[in-house]
Amino acid sequence: MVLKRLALVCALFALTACSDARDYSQAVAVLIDVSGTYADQTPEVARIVKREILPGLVPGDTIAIVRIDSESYKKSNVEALVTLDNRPSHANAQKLDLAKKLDAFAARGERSQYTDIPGAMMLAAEYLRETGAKSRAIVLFSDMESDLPPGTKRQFGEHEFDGIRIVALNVKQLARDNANPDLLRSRLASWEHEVTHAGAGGFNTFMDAAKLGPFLAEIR
Amino acid sequence: MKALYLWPDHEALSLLVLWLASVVFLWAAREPILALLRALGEFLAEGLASLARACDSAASKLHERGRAALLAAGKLEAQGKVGREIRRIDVAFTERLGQYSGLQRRLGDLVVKLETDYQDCAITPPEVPGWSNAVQAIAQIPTPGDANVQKVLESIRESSEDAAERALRQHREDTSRRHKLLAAMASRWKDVRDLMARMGDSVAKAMETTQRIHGYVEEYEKVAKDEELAARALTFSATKLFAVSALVLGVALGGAFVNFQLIALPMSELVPAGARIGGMPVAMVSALVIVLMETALGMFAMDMLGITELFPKLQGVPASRRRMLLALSLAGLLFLAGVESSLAVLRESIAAADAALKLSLSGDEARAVTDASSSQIPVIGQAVLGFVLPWILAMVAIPLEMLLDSGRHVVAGLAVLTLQGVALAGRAGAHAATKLAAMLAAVYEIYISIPLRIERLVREPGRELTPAAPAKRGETARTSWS
Repeated sequence: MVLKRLALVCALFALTACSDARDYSQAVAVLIDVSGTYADQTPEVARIVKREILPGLVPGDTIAIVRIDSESYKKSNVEALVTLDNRPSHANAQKLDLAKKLDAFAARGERSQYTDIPGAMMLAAEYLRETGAKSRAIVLFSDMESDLPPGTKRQFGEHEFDGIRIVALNVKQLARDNANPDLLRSRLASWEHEVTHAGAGGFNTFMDAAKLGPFLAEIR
Repeated sequence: MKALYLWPDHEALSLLVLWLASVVFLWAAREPILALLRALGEFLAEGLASLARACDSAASKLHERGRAALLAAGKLEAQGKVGREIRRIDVAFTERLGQYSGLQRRLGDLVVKLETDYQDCAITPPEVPGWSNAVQAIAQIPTPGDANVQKVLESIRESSEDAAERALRQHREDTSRRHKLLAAMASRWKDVRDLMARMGDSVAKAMETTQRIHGYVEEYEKVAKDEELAARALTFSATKLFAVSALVLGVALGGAFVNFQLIALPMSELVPAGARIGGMPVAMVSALVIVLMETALGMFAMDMLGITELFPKLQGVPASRRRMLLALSLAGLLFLAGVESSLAVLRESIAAADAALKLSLSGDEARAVTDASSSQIPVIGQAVLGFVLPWILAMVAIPLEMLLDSGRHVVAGLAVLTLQGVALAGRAGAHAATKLAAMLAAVYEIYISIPLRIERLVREPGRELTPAAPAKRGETARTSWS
């Protein structure tokens, strides 16, 4: 009788102790702006992603590279979507492959007429939700100036970014931002207001790209 | 506070009224308040005193029990020592006695040979024949001119000389044979001396063992007689063992940690790296399991070798099965050592690949290639470490057993000390509670001293005029209780 109870307790413990790997994995969506005002930053963005994001990813993590162009809410805007293999050596190979893709993407020198940032964010949020990862983040490389083409409508849902942390990095100051820094500040504040109302776990902006790695490790 | 003021604008008046009200109230409630203070003091004092008594009793029982356990352990140890020594003697004596018949036979043979040789030597040797004098006498016989006589004398002389030569040769041969016998006797005497020396050594060893057994038996007798001295010696011995084994176990834990770190990273290549158990990566859990398996196998091996007795059931296993279990344990350890060694090599390559990847991602590929091909020494070092550490870890069983054996006595001793400390604190607390209650009563009476004095004046108007007798020390407190 005692043995049976002990076995039952052990089985319960084993069931509760063995958890899904997704509970500890991280999914990161990197959104890269290729609009006219930001396209020149693409090589620098590729370098930052390779240096600050890729080394910190571990087996089981997912990374998506999404292009922000005129119409970003399209599947074809996903430049790469990789879930790292459980074996570290294979995961390393995947990282190297992704680094090559990023280099190729930067080398393309693509430029779009409009800037559909919300569309890319919505697309990224859907992909991130699908991964089921415990820690989810959208990293935005843009000037944060949305410029939608005529006839395009973007409206965040109430729970659009539930459980997702949003980081804006390498935000390029536009010419008018230099004239009046309040414009940039109010733009960022407006983004923060929008995404937090859409359920985002937070909106951070970093001037120093080196802070991204520790931040992602912190929210893991 | 201001909320209590009757007239917020007149603080002094409000305070005075409040004070007066409190004094009157406390004076009116003097009896129940004093009873309450007395009850509280008694309650605390009794409770703490009971706690102290219970702790004292428990400490005493625990001490007795611990002492009995210690003496029992001492008895067992002494018995074990005597038993081991007797077994050793048994084995040695069986071996020696087995050799004794051969030794005796050899000694007998040698003695017989020596006797024979001695007898041979004792046979009277043939004296040197006196032929020389006879030959000389014959040679001096004057020879007349008679040719026949001369011929006869010559013939006698020649035959005498031949006989003399033969006798001399015989004498020399006999002497040579005797010398040979004597030479052979010398080596036999040496053999006899060696044999005697060996026998002497055996006897000396037996005497030494007997002395040792005598010591153990004396120790056992002391323990059996329940001597205080023996108990103290055993306590000291247990504490020393506990400290030493804890130290060694600490060092072994350090080794286990190094071992764990060595294989945790490469294990991620063998098991799902992302999966976790209780928040801990499976790779780390697997590495931990391997380290624990090495420890467990080491414990089995040590038990099978008879060094430890962690598993009493294994002591009853027949010798053949014990040998089989020992072989299995050692084979398991060898296998795990091999696995660890290969994992250690893998670890180095994973670390190098990681470093190369990081450098490559930061755009410094040339340096990555140079660094990766620097030296093989770390790989070899890690492989050797990975192979050796499991064997070192296997020996953890010895300090672990020592720690478990001595730990219970040390823990019991500490528990006794703690209980005694609690009892002491309880007694001190009981005393403090009594005094504190008395002090509170005194303070209370000071506070209501004015209405008290008025009450006395009203009840006994004449008494206040006479000077009060000097109060004895503590009288106030005692009066308050009444």
